[in-house]
Amino acid sequence: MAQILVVDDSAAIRNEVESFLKTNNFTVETAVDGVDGLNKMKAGRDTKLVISDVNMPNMDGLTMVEKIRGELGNSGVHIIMLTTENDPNMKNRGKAAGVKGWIVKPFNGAAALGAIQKLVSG
Amino acid sequence: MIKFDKSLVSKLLVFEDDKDTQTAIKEFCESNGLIPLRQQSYSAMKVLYSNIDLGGVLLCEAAHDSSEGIHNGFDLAVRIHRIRPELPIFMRREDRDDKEDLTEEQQAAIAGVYKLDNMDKLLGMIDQFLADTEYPISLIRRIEEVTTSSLETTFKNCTVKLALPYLVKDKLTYGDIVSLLPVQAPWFNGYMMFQSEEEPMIHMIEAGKTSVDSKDVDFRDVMGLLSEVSNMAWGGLKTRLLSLHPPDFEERNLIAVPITVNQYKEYISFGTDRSQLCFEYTIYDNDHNVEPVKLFQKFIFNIKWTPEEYRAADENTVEELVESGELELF
Repeated sequence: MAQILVVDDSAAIRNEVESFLKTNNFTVETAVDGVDGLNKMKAGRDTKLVISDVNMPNMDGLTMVEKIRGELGNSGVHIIMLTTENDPNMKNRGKAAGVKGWIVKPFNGAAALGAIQKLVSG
Repeated sequence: MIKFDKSLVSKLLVFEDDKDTQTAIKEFCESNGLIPLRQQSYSAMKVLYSNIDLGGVLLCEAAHDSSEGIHNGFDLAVRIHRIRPELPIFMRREDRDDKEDLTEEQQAAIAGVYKLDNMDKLLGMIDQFLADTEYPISLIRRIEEVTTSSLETTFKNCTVKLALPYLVKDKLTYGDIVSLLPVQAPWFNGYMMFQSEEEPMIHMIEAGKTSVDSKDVDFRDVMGLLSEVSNMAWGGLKTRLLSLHPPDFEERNLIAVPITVNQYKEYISFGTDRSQLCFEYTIYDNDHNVEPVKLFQKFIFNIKWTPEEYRAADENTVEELVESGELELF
């Protein structure tokens, strides 16, 4: 069972984050957009943490988060957004949906590692 | 030839001591919608570090900055270029109007040279390089800084070099790959386009210079990488512009115009004749194993462009420098 689900339409970002997390002994699954992410969350309800982009085709990251909380009724999974967006309105929408953290790209794994470890073990 | 919009005057920082030359430059600027600012104390660096809204620099071979220990115009040009690489520097020469005798570093720093008896040449160079006549220099700097940082993040152990920004009215595309991203802020609405070549990008990926898997690389990987560069560049720029936004601004894409493409002719039209703001980046592999990659970034504000509102939102400090005596209006 994957501990962390990484959702990003960019293969480069997915590879980078997945590789960093695996190096730090996490089990990782990836999804290419919000629809894929939502489907993987339906299948893997024990996922501890979702790291997701915001701007993605088919379904954006914030809509996916809202569906995880609403449609799936999963209020336990921790969610961090990893995005180029820094708009306060989007952050507020994420916060309202229960997003725990907001990381502006580029991904700095070393800086985020402590928080990721805490969320996955908590 | 680009026609200057008189409502968008550009400021030139001028390093000239000779009175007759000053008069000639003043007349030239008045005829062409430019404002010359004469350096008062030959302490150029304070003005250049101040981020005032300059469009370019005019200097001569004898220009100097005693406070910085710079004793000739060539060294001054190199120093200015290091501090403000987006500013085109035009040098007035006494005996020749080319750069062939200059060092590589001096040639890179100086956009063009002219002689006082051929101001038409200066006008041509200003048409080519003075992007500030249509696009505020602070916007240009923000774009350059954010995009360079995005490219440095994407291409590992590489050096990103940037040429002077310029304006084009043609609609031809460079290379064989293009990304298009709608961009919107209170002052503009249009597209950001990246153009590059597939093959050198593939070589970069295969050499492990990016986060894309370096095995079995094909064009899809390149397109994905170009897409990510576009996302990062625009995301970063949006963040930098956020502090200037009115708090109630919301992105809305209610207005759209058709974009037409002729693939055979390598032609793309956004339905406007407004000049496109262009940046050319070259990515060099620090290990020298891969050929450099060229990337062209173009901004096409085809739906909305109100630079006067951008300038009003972005504080301009030139008046303060004039008041303090650092600068003098001709």
